[in-house]
Amino acid sequence: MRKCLAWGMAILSAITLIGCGSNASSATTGAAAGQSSSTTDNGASTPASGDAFTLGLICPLSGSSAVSGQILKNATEMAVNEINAAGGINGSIQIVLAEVDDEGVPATSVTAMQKLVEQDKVNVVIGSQASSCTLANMEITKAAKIPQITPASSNVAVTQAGNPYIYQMTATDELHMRNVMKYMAEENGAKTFAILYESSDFGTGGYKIAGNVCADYNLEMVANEVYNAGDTDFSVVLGKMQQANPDFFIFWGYHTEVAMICKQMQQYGISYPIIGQGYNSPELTNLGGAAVEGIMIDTAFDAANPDEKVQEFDKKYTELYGEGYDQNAPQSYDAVYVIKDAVERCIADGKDYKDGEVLNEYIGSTTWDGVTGVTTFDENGRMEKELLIITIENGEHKIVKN
Amino acid sequence: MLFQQVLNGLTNGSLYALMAVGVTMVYKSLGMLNFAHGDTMMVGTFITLTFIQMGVPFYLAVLFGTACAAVLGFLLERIILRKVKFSSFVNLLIATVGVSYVLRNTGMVIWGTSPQLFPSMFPETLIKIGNFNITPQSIGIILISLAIITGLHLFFTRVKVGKCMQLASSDAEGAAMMGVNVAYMRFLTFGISAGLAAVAGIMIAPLTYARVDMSATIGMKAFAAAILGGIGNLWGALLGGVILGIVEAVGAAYISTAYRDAFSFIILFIVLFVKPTGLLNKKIENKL
Repeated sequence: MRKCLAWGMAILSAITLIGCGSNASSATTGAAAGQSSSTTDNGASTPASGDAFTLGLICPLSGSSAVSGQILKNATEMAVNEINAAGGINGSIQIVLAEVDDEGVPATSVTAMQKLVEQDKVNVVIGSQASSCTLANMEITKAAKIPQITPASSNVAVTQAGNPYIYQMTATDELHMRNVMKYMAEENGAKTFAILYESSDFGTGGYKIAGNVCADYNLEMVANEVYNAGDTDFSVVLGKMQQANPDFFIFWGYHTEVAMICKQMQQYGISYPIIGQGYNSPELTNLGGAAVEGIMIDTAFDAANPDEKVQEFDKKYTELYGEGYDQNAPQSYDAVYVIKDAVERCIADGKDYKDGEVLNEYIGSTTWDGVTGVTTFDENGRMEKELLIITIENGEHKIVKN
Repeated sequence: MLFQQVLNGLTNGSLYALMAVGVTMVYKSLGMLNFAHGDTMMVGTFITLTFIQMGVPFYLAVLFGTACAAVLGFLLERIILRKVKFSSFVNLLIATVGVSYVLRNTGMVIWGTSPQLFPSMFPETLIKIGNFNITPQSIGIILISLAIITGLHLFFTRVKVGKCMQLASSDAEGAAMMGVNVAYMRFLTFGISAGLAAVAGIMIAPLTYARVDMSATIGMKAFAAAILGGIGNLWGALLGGVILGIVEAVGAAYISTAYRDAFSFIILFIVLFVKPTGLLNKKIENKL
């Protein structure tokens, strides 16, 4: 009997450990499984020759992030094909696209990047998707003096390391948080807030940023509560947040829990303006129903934006690749145009655009009005942009602040 | 707030108890933990959901789902465990771990990995008594769980088949000599245990959504509850489940929500340290 129990407990703890590790990734691996076989290393097209300009693309095309990587690839190819069809950069230079698969693994991304730099002799690189990959492979482009734009890696560390060749064309969590606070403080006259965040890197990161930047907007954090992914009962945290009676709630978590939190708020009759980031997913309205009506989301891109460029992009992308893309698609698309713009300005000034150092200067001074709004970079290469705030009305996205 | 949390704890606790009862029944009859129990719950829940989505009336769908889970339990016993039983109990354990993975991954293929909304059988409006908010769901879950466990107790003590099952699990050889078909009784035990899991799943899903990995935490809590109360003991499972639920809820409220799951396992370790056989089990005599 004791022996049985001992065995049971041993297996029990083993499974708990396995469970912890696999849960987080199961959602993405399952979704990716169907896609992963479709593309492996596409390899390079012909190396740069004559007046061609070689654009390297590094993103995960197999493995658990293959779906996200495919979106980057689709949007980049879409932009390159458009430019080439119209005659190329400056009307004469065709873009040659060299694609490599980094599998979402930092070690692989370094070898893949070496291939782009040494064999394909790329002039500029777009990628990668995962922050850990970009952090690893940007050392290669830095050493080779080749500018690199990541349209997806949002970790602040990417542009914190003082690498002059890396550009982050996606909103960092800090940019999101500042945008949220600016909107609530300046346009809604809010003075206090309570934050509810997930106990992950993402959630705790958001909480720390909130504490650091709230004073800039004369906001005071009156309550902060944390939950675990997979929690189902939020009565305690909601009760504590209600007691603090803030002007608004900030949520920093994913759609599954946020939908449930909204339902429980409705049930308990707790009503505060909600704004935040992380839960922007079509699933939010499926799970939350009427409870998520009026919830606000900070995002870099939304297809509901009536802006002409956005609508045109949405139409073109869905026609070519079907629905279901995220903000990384328009960001990758814009990244190609940022490069095109930099090369053209280079040529106009009579400089050599094939010199990485020169091209890097021109990318740094970009002001490009694209699908995702006007893109400029700060001195660290971090994107500066006014983000969108959207809300949910009758189950549809609606732009609150453009 | 304390009363509110105790009530929340009771709700979760009765769900843990319902799952723990299934674990305990199987343990008693086969002397091993069924690691596929949580995933049987998941499959039962999703089959019910599929029936609901096909337009089958809710209660009929619940009935079908529970029946399908029971059939799954029967099959598990007949096809896999009966074959493995003649080797050591470790092989039995590992066989159920294998079944658990097969069920979960098959579930992912059939129903996908994203959580799905599950309709509740209770109204969503709150009942307010003074300062307390009580959801009809909580009351419903507590009452249904209590009714099921009491019903099971009566079944095992009053009904002939139940008594035979009880006998077959406590003394298989003796039962066989009395003319009880022990294999058949084990078969029944598995079916009932799986059906109970499905009922628990159907009550949990409106709270947590139906998701293929729903067994990950609730399955573990079920084992913990069964062991805490004294494994093999029906009332022990109930007590263990309720204690876990309340400790979790109160710990989350007064210490930190981030450590909710840790509290239940800490209390398990403390109880096992003080009383290694669990709360309600008698001391095991060492037979030489």
